[in-house]
Parts: sequence; structure tokens; C-alpha cells
Amino acid sequence: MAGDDDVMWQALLATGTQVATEADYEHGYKREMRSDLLRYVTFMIGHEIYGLPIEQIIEISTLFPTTPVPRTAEFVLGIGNMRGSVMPVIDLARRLRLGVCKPTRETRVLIVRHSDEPHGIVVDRVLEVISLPPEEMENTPGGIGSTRADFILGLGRDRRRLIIILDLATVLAERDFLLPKFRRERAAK
Amino acid sequence: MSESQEFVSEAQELIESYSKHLGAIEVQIQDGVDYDPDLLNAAFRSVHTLKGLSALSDVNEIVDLSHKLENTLDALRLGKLPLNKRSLDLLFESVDLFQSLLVHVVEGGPGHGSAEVDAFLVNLAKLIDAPESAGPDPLAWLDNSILGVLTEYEEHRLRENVRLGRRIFRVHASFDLMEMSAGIDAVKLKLKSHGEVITLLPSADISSEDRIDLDILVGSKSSLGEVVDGLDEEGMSVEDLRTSEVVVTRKRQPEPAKPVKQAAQQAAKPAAPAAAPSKSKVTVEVDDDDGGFVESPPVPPRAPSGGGGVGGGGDDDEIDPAGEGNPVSLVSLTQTVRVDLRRLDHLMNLVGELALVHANLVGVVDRQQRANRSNEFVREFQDQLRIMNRRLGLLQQGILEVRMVPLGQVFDKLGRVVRKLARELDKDVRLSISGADTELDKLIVEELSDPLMHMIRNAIDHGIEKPAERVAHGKPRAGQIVLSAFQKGNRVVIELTDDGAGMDWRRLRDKAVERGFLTREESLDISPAQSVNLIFTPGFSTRDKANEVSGRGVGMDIVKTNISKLSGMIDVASEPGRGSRFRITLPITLAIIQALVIETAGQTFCIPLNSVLESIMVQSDEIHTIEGHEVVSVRGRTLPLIHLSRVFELEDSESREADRRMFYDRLYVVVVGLAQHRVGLVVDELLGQQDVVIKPIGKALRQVPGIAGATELGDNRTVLLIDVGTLVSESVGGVEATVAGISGGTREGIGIFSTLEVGGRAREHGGWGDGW
Repeated sequence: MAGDDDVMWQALLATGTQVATEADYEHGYKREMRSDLLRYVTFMIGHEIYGLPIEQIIEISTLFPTTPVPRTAEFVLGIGNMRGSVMPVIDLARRLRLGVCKPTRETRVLIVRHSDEPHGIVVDRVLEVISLPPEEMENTPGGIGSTRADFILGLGRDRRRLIIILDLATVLAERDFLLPKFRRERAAK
Repeated sequence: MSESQEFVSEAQELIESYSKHLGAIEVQIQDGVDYDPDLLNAAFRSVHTLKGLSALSDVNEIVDLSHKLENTLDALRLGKLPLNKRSLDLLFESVDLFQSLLVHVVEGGPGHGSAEVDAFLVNLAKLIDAPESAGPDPLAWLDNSILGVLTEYEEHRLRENVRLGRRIFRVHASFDLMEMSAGIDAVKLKLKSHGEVITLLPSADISSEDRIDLDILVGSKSSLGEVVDGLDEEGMSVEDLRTSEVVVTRKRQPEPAKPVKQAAQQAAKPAAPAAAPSKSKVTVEVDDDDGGFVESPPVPPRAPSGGGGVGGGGDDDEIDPAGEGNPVSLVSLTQTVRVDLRRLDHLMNLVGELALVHANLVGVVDRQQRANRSNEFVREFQDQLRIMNRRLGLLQQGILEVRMVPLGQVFDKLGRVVRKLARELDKDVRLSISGADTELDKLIVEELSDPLMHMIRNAIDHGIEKPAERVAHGKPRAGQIVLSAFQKGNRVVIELTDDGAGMDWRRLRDKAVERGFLTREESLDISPAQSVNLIFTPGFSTRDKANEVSGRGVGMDIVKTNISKLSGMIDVASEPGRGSRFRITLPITLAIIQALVIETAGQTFCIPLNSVLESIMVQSDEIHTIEGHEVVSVRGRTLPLIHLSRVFELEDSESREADRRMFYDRLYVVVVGLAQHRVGLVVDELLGQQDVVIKPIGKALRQVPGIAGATELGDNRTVLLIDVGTLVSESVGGVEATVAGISGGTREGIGIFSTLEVGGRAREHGGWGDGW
């Protein structure tokens, strides 16, 4: 576990953005820490800030090559190979219908664990790890397009910025990976 | 329930060994041989261990059932109950009950299946209450000094041996304490060749601290002389208890007899009277000293479990009930290690990566060599790399072998199914199995059990006739089902043959017309072999009504689908009145396969080589179209073509293809076969053949039809592996039908005939649907 954390910290630091480090905690910051705070990794898609619970993230990697898989939905970039484990990689921007992710130097792949398998999620930029008290999570407000609302677990606020917490289970829902005409409902068996 | 996984697999093993022992007993009884009591003991032990295990994991249903069962088995062991067909049936029923209880444990949820258990227990109780035929005691002649020290079980075995007309011998032997277990084993082995070792009675002879004396009771058909000859050991005396003849094998050294001490010891045990000496008539004796200890039955300081038999209360530890108190066997049982398949997969991945590193090294050296031709260093490096390559191969093979399990695991389960079904359907069926030790990848073996089960069901329900009918046709009363497996190259062939009614292809054809799978016109053209293959059509059944066993029409198409998923092929041959033969051909492993690497529309794919029949080059003017579908004639057969780039909707395929045709005027066609179908895949390039490690692509992408997995080629590229089975079914039945067919639903189109003789017929049979 510690190992994974290290890798991630390094990855976060490598992104060159503000990351709360141990040093920050030394200067009084630490006293405010509550034990029930939930930690989120935040990242950008377009101009919006999104977050995923830190436990769901295994690793943050730079972009790696993927092989397109036929008959899959548009948001599925294909399969990629991270140190021997093959995983599906998706373009989160396309998944959330926010356009297409254009690879830049800041583009990162979040390796997340979902139903015990690794998945890669391409994001525009990784920001930092934040802590949010559970009671400050807002429910999804009405008025957001219904399909998009499904992807959202809740809204958090950190330093007056709005952070959209994603629901990994919906984002990575298996059936959506396939083009509709190849789908079959897995009723039998 | 963190150890639940562990518990289930262990319990599964116990139940399987229990059922296996029952099966062995049944075979012996059927063959009219006296069953080996050790088998019953082993069955008893399995149930007992299962009880202990379930108690540990708090699975009370299994504890209860195994406890009750244990009592019954104990009664059977002790001969209180007759071991006959009825009791055996009941025992087999318990195997199924255990299985369902176990399934229930896995799936969770509240007390389901308890009604079945209750019903079973009632039957069990009935069995126990059945009146016992008490004949005259066959042991009346035997003196009490022996009877008194036997446990109930041993006494039963003694009776059983006497009843079978065997002689009872008492072998007296003395062993060095240090070498006792080895010595006893050796003697027991020799004695076993003559008959049954009923018990070992150690005598606590305190006089010699480093030796132990044993009396071994043996039931045997052999004569005294034969037993003595067979022993071929020094210093043992053998006594025929009925005639009281004694033969001493050969005196090693005079053993000082201790009559006083022995007498005192005997006095402590009320059941050991001094009557024995008076009865024994020593006929052969080498040394006078010997008489003393031959005649005194040494009283064992054994068994606080006493009269109840070792297993009676079920609260004993793992002492072998047959009195083989030999701790060595416990040690040897732990020679195997249970390994999670995922760990092996991990190892396999590592090996795959090592192979990649190796490939890169080779690349580096090659570059070096090109730059600097006559470099001694480079040459040496290359030699080492070659050695490394070989070792890597061995390592890979080693890991693969670890994944291999014998097919017997599935075959044993099927034996149970045959039994049960034959009973339910009132048929007499013998299953003979060969090649159970043929090994296959664990994953494949697991996946095979359902298809084989279906096929066995069909064979018994549709194939084997009722006994009377068989006799009327001049066949033996009992139907024969032969399940055989053998290895053929790097594939394994499994054959299921029955000598039943076979399939009437005309009837199949007519049913197909009746059910709308075929039109009347189509049915006129269809060959017998094609008709028989109709059984693989989803929804096809010749039964008008479904019964419990089969007839719902979701059997053989699922079999076909499952076999195809394992990249296997299935074909069927049948002769009315003579029986049917199904043949399944499977790759030995799915983890590493040989693949044909191809390129189409600029993307690389792998095709499992075991589905590839051949690769051919086709001139574009050889291609004909039938209702817009391209076909080509190969050696007189019409082969439907699929353009990989089109079915996968790969970009820019149109223009590229046009280019290719213009410049080369020919196409590469990979002929693939799956089950009974043959289809040509049109590709741009054949890049070569390679061993590839298959990697899972995750749940989400696993459902993509036409893609079976991913693999890496040397240059760190991830390449998709094509699922030939799905593509072929699509080409045959259309995408919708394939998608629907797999989920067991209804289907459109026919899609049975793809081995078409002439193009003209192809149209009539509508072979390829409208998949793309």
C-alpha cells in the first residue's frame, strides 16, 4: 500500500502543481486533520475539476500507447499495456460528453481499480489530493442533463472551487463499452 | 468468512473423493467381486473429515448431514447394515446433497434445500431400521481370547472373512522399534497379496525395550504354506486359527519367553482367558522356546474407543479405523500445494515479459553485429542468448504443466450423472472411461464439465434405449457409453460414444422443417451429415415435450458455443440403430497458444492457429458473389469470405482494399474452421506465426464479440486476438442471431450449412445471413 502511495505522490509531484506534502502538515496544517476526512484525487477535464476517491486509484501514469478495439463505443480508446497488465483505456472527456481529449504534456492516465480489474482513464491534467469532510458533500443538483448526472456521485467544495466527484461504477459500466448493436443482455447464465 | 474459499475447495475435494470411493465400491459390486473394505473406510474417512472441516467453518447443514451419514457408514462398515444397491443409491444421493449444500454455502442465503436433506435423512433412518438378518454366529468356533480384544469393526471384518470361506491366520512377528513402521508396512503388503489384514494386535512386551511383538490377523483363501512362503521373513509364526496349525518361518534368535509377565498382563484384561494354549497343536516348530509366545495371544493396550469402533462416536481423531496406525501416511498426504490460478497467471506474465526482454536483447546484439561484424564478444553473447531462450521455453513449459489437471476430475463427476440419470430413466447404462489421466489446462477442464454433462444427458435420454427395447433389437441389456480422451499433437481429443439408437437423420430433417428451421425445398437437398448437424441449431429439439432431463432445445447449441469458446471443435457422427459418436477437439492450454499474426487495414491481429486450417492466396477474379456475399471455390468447395476490415469496421478499408486489388489482384485468405463450419477471412498481410501469451482484457471488453483477448508481440505492441468462433457464427447466422443465440434466446436464419458443395446451393440454404 505504502508503495502505491509513493508512486502516486511522485506522479503528483511530477505534475508540478500544488500538492499538499508532509512539509505542509508540519506547519500547523496537520492539527486541522480529521480522521474521517475523505481524500480525493482531483483532475481537470476541460475547465471542470473532477475527483475520484484516492482508494480507487492505483497509479497515475503518463500517456501510453493503446490499441483500438473494434466494435466498442467511441469513448473506449482501446487496450493498453502497463507493465504487463493489459487494461481497457477510456477517454473521460468523451465519456462525459465534454468533447475529445487532445493529448498534451499534461495528459495523464489514472489507473483505477474497478471490479477488481485495472482500467485506464485519460484525463487532461492531474491536480492534487484534497481532503473533504463527508458532510460537505452536496448531492447532485437537478438541472444537469440526466445522463451526465448518473456519472456524478456528488459535489464537493475545496477553497471555493467546485469539485465533481465521479461515480466510477457508472463511468466504467460494462455494457456501455460495447456499441449498442453488439450488446446482449446477460440474462441467461 | 475469509476462509470460505479455502473451505469450499477443500470440501469439494472431500466430497469428490467420497463419491469416487463409492463409485469404486459400486464397480466392484457390479462385477460380482467382494468389495474392498478399505474403500468403505476411505469413504467413511472423507465424510468424517468433511464433518470436522464444516464444524470448523460453522456450516451446520453439512455437519448435520455428515454426522448422520457417518453413523450409517459406520454401521455399514461394521456389517450391521448390508451394503447393497439400495444403500449405495442412498449414499450416492448424499453426494448430490453435499454438492447442493456446498453451492448454497457459496451463494449464501437462508436455509434452502433443507427439505431435501430432511427427506434424505428419513430414507437414511429407514435404511438403518431395516431388519437385520441374524444368522448363526460364524465365529462360534473361534476362541474368545481373540474375539474379546477386537473392536467391533475388526470383529465384523473377521466374520465377513469367515463367511466368505477364508481361512483366518494369526501371524506373530517381532519388530525392532526403530524400524517398526517400515517393517509392519512390508509385512502388511505381503499379507495383503493373500487376503485382508483384519487387524494388528500389538503386545506390550516390556521385556525387550527395543522390540515390539505384533499379532496380525489375516483372512485369506491361501493355504498356510502359501502364506508362510509369501512372507519370506525370519522369525515369524503363522497359525491357522481353525486347525491350530502353526508354522514358524525361521527362527532368528531365541526370544526369552516371559510367561509370568504375560500371564499377569492377561489377567488385567478380562477377555483374555488362558484357553488358547490348550487348543493349539504345534505341528512345526523349530525352537521349543517359541511355543510360549506363539500361544499367548498378546493383549493390545489399544483403543480406548473400545467397542464402539473407532469411528462410532465421531469424536475420535484421525486414527485409521483399520488399525493401520502408521503416521507415515499423514506426511505423504501433504505432498501437494493448492495454488491460486491467478498466481500462476502472474508467473506466466512474468515469463512473457522475460521473453520480451530477451527479444529486445537479441535486437540489440543484432544491431551490434551489423555494426561490427567479426566481434568475438557479440558471438559469445548470442550463444548465451540462445541458451537463455531455451531455458525460458522450459520455464514457460514448466508453468504450463503446473496448470494441467487430469480430465479425470470431470469424468468422475460424469460417472455420478450417468448413475443418477440411468436410475431416473429406468435404463441400464454402463459408463466406461479411458484416458482419464489425459491432462488439460485447469480452465479448460472446468469449462468442459457443462458441455460434457449435456452430451451425456442426451446420450442417456435420447441415445440409450430402454432395456427391453435393447434386448428386442438383439443388443446387450445394458447400454454402453464410452468416454475416452487422448492427446493428439498439441490437442486433446475427447470422444463420447454410445451404442444407443443413434440419430435418424430423416427424422431430424423433418423436425427441422416442422419447426421452421428449414423449408421443404431446402430439406430435399440436405445430406445425412448435414441433417445430423441440425442438433447444433439453437432451439432445436426432437422432443414434443420437455422433460426433466432434456428436450428444451437448449442443449447442443450451448455445447457448441462452450466448445467454441475454448477454441475447440465438435463434430458428430451417427448411425441409426448403432449409436452416435461425438468428438471434441481442444487445445491443451489457453494460456499460451500459437497464433497467426496478420495485418488488415493497418492494424495487427492474431488468429489462434488451432482454428486455422490453411492460408491461401486468391485471385480476385476467382471471387464470386451470391446475393452480395463473396464466396470462393477451394478444391470444389464453396467457401464464404469475410473481410476482417469490414466486420470490424476498420477505417479506410475501402480505399486500401481497392488499392490492393488494383496492384496485386489477389487476396490473402485465412481459412478458419470452427465446429463444423469453414469460412475464409480476408486479410491484407500474413506476418507470420508466433507463440503468444494470452492476456485477459477485462470484463468490460471480454464481451466484445469477435475479440478473444490480447497479447503482446515482441515490440511492446498490444495486439488483439480474434475470436474465430464468433466471427464464423456471425457469418453463418448474422450478428443478431449470434448475439441472441449465445444468450440462449431465439434466433433468426438458419446457419447450419457452411460446408457447401456448390455455389448454387449456397443461395438456397441462405448460409450467411445478413451480418454486415
